Amino acid sequence: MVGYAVTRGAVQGSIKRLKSSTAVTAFQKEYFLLAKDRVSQGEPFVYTGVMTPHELFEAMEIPFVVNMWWAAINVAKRLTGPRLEQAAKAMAERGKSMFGPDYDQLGRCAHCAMGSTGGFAQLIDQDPEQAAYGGLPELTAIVESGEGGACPGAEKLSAIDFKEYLRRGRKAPPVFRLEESAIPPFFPRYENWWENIMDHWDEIIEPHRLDYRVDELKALIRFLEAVTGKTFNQDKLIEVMELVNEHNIYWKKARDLIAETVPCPADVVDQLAQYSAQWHRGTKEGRDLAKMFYDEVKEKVENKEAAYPGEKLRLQWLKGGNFGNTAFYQYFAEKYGAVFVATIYISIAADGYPRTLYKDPLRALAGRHLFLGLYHGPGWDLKEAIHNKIDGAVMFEQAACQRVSHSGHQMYKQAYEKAGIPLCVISPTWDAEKQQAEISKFIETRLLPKRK
Amino acid sequence: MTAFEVMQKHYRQRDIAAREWKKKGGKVVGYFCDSVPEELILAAGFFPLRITGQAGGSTKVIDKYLEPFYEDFVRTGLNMLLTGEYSFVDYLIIPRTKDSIVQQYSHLSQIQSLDSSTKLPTMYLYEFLHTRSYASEFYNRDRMLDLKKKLEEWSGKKITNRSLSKAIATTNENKMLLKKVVDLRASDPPRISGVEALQIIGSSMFMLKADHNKLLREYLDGADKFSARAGARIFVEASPLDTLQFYEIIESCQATVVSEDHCWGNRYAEVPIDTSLDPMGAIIKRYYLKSPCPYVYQVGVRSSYCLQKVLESKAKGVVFNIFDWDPSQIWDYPEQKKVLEAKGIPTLRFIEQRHLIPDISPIKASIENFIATIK
Repeated sequence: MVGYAVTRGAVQGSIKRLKSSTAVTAFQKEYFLLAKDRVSQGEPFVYTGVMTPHELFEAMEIPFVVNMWWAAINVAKRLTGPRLEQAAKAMAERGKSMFGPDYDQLGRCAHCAMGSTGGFAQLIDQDPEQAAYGGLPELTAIVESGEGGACPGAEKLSAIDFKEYLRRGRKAPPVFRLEESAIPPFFPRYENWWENIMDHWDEIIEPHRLDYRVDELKALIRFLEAVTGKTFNQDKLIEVMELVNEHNIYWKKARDLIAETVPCPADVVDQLAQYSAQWHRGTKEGRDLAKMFYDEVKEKVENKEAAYPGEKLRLQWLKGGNFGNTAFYQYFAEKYGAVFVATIYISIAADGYPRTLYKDPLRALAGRHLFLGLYHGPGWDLKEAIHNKIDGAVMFEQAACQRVSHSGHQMYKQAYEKAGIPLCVISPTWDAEKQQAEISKFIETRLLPKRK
Repeated sequence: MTAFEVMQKHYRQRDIAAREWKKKGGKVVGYFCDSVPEELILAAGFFPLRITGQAGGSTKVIDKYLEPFYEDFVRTGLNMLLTGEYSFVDYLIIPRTKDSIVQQYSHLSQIQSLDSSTKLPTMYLYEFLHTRSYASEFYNRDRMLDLKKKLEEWSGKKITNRSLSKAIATTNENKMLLKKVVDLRASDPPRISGVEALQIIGSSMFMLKADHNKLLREYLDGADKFSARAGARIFVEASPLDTLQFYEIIESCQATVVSEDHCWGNRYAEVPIDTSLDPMGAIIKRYYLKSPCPYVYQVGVRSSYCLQKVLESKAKGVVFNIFDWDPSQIWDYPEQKKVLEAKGIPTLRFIEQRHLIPDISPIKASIENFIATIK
């Protein structure tokens, strides 16, 4: 899951205090270059989506790249400074020029437009000078999820992308689309799913969804075997799944330490920096990065080192992260001692991703992907707010997309205010100064007086 | 009143037949979209009522909970549910069609948990996959069997093959009679206006089918006396249009809407149920393979269907009317436009439209210009 709620930075240069944060970024680049090298020596390569079962690629040792990460990297490459608004407009224009003027919906469906014109556009153009790290290698296959289950706009955009790809004379890699049998809003059987999902996923998720997804995974395995020449090994998948569990349990332990320690040892900037490690779940390197993060947080707690010793207020950031300008979060810590301590990214993985395998790793994998804890209303977020001893929460006004913004700010405002936790909904503009002013006013008028 | 006037009354006052049914001790099952098998609801002994919004209606209550980026008809429909305007509905089936529909299952549940005084019908999420494949066919079959079980639970009795066959016969007759309406619209010259047709077709979803069939037979008995309509032949490709305003605008410009592709028009009446199969299997097959809804099918299938229907109706031009926040229809448009124009069929597009158009003059002016070019 990636957030594209971004702002043009008024404060430059966020501070990452953890070595693991830098390590994750460095590893991501290193992985990609290594993958290119492997492909140059004859290995296959898969281009895939965020929600596909990467565990299978890891188990079969198939290098892959995730479309949203690829899009984000290519967007960043075009920037000199965080001018993402310009980039989004440029991409929308590029989309129109690529697909024709009738595709003006691209401007509104910004979330998917980024994935399309940012990531896939580079695939279509294959212009190494425009692409990060010299562009992608030749694709062996494309694996997507959401045929018929994605936002209809995203699904159709995907088909349009591919038609354009073929029309430009690109060699067509075979495509496998997983269909979601459980789309948001998946309605969990247990309201407090986070208490039980790891061990009781097979009771929470209806059996017919699991059955269908297992069939799809088997079909995907056969597809990967056919196109790559590699053979699937269940023992390797078990190893991968256990590493996924270890990875996310380290994140859970880190999250719990952060939540329960006042002042917090690591703010959301360092937490957000960890997220790319999710693309390496199921690997020893991914697990080790998560362990590194946990060890650092633990050390800071033991040494009573705070991210901001002057912490006065604890804030929660709800929904999509502000990846384009993480310094934004730290402005309020500097000014008010109002520290953003909680965000969805580490925590949803911590609570939602680990699965007890019960000797059936494929079914556990299905159980993992069918329910990631996303888009289910404010219940889990409220739990996090209480756990993290939050004084107030902030989220963007949800403005654009039914799929991404399901259970948007209105519902959250109702739920948070009912629970006695003030929620600030800020404008979804590109103007960080305006948003800083909104949050500052929230802190000054609603949070600081309460603290006194 | 004439048969048409009765249908018109039910189109405008969408709750009266269901409320009458309730007075007699019956129960009402509401549903969204046209992907819910009415035959199962009828066979269970319930009154099937398609839930609609209200063009220009209030959204005061739902605005507290829902962002603006959902279609107007969804927002006003939800508002009506929350304010008790649908209090006579006992059960509500929410199908997994488009996001703005299926998400309401979760939204309504959350609203109930935030405000325990909220009264809503008992809800059921009717889930199915959107592709046509070997695997999805079996999955969808099982989901429809689950729906059947739920209806049996609500009614307290088994749905028998006999009751299914009877329901199928009724809905098939309805489709057969509506097909005659379709043919009269597409005849040269057309004998029924688009405005009339929407009321004839739409009223079917607010009445018991058997009663609607009687009205249709009576209406069609006088078909040889229907006046011929002059003017340009127009096809409408649109988001769900459950109001007359847009067609009234078109037909005030010396044109007739001879056909359309949206779920309140001809598409509703297509693909009768195959009575050579076992009843449940036949219902499953029909809903699995029915005419392609934009929220379900790929762009290529949708463009082919659009072109086929335009050619069948001998329309001379296509007008698109796409609601604001309809992410599926908007992505169909470019390909549909391409295939139509490749066949020399001109198109006109309106996007980001409201359920109730606040100022019709610019739209009317565009349509007049468009029609002038195709006459």
